Amino acid sequence: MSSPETTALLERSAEQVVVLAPPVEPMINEAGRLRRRRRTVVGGAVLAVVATLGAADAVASFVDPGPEAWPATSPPDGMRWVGVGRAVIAVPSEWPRDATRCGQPVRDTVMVGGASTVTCTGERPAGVRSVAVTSGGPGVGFAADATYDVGGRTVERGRTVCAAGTCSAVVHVPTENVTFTVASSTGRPERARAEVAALARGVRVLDGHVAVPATGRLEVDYGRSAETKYVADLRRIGLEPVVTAERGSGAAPGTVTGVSPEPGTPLVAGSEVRVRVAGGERRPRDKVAVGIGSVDEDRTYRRLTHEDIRRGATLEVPQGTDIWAYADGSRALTLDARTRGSSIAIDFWRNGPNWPTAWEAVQPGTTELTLSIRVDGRNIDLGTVRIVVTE
Amino acid sequence: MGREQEFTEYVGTRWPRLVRTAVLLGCPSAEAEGVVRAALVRCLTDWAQVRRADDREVYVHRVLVEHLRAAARRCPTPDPATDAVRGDTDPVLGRLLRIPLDQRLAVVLCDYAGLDELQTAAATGLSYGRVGTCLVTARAALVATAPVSSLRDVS
Repeated sequence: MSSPETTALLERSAEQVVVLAPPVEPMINEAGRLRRRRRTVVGGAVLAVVATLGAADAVASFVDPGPEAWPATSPPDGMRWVGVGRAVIAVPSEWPRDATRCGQPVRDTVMVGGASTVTCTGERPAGVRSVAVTSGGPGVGFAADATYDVGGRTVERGRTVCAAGTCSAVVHVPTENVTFTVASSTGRPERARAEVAALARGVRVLDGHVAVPATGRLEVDYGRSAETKYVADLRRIGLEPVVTAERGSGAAPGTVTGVSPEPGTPLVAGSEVRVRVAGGERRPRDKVAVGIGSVDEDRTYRRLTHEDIRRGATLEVPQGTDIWAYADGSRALTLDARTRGSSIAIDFWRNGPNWPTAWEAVQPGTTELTLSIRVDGRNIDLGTVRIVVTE
Repeated sequence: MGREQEFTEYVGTRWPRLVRTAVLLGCPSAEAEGVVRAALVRCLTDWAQVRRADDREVYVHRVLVEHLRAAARRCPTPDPATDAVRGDTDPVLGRLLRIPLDQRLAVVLCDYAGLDELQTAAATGLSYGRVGTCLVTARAALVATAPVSSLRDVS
């Protein structure tokens, strides 16, 4: 039997440890490699040599076309500017920001602000285009293959390099100390190279503007001082922060939980930036952080965060998906759930880690799922989400 | 349910607590995720054994403890006196790092990871009686360290 006093002390200490998302896919891949290694006794060395030769053969580099198509000061139709400081690049408007896993893009996306905080190894899938915007130089080994003048500023462009199915090029704006890495893994190298060249031509320097800074590494680098640091940064670059405290987000106090407009968006100097910051604990419902996870038969992993659940988000999953709810914090063991609808059914896996808050998507339809905790004999609802099951 | 689906569900739920368990057991924060990851990869590699195990939580925690011990052999248990950041900012963690390993294992697995004394004995290789003795000593040491104010709102 545990001791409530020491449990509370340990919970409090443990809460100070920042834990990032689990690297599920890399763990599955690593375990697969380990199992295969166990089975492979003969021929491993030969395969390694073949793989090395294959990889070396796949590497090629190209010279890119000239700067005739550099854009004007406004982004082309269907594109938007994203950048750091005054340096921006045009990306398709529909591209989301930071759609990555283990630092690798999982769909067309623009990544703002530098290195991923997730320390795991991931592979870039095929058919994905990406632009990474980082503050700083292009790194050791960069050699400018072409130098252009864009609005009076020099822009250095490296060669497009294709390796392992992905073509990429680096564009550096020395006066702004900003680097753009453009990459594409869409099909044949000729096509990927053309896409990289087209995207790389979209770099500009916008006078009188400054981009909203990234928030990605704030929590890791500055912990509970993240808010102070971010607000100071905004003021330093000429933007006006408007901070609102947010209760019950499940995040540690001082964590920046949201920024509007989103990081990377260029604004006229003096514009307001709304910063949402997590406040401290207050009510019992704020002493627990809940989440909902799901994994379908194709191993696609989806999550609803504590915030998603509080605002009544919708989780759309295909039939056959496993869904589970979990909690962390001092009321976690009292987590309960009730459903309204028949598209999900309680999971038969009674020994599972989430019994009885685990379900299987059994038929198309919608089910409302309400999560609650028990405090002093009363049920306190944390939020209701819609689970939409598709064929 | 497939092996990888089971694993994904398990990790999706247990990951934060396992990482924090590793930190409380003395693993430096920067290495905790790596150690837990290695332990879970080992579990997934032998997932059939995890399925067959009488108690899945005991199995996973036993693998985790083995990995932590191996990591500690490569890099000795951190000394809070030299680990200024952790020791200064969190007296409970500082005290935890000073008590003997058996006591730390017992109190963290029972009072944080959620195992009972029998499960803790199975996960650590300690005898049931030894776990009980270690628990009493470790709890007394931790409570004595904590400031009174931090115990007032224990609920």
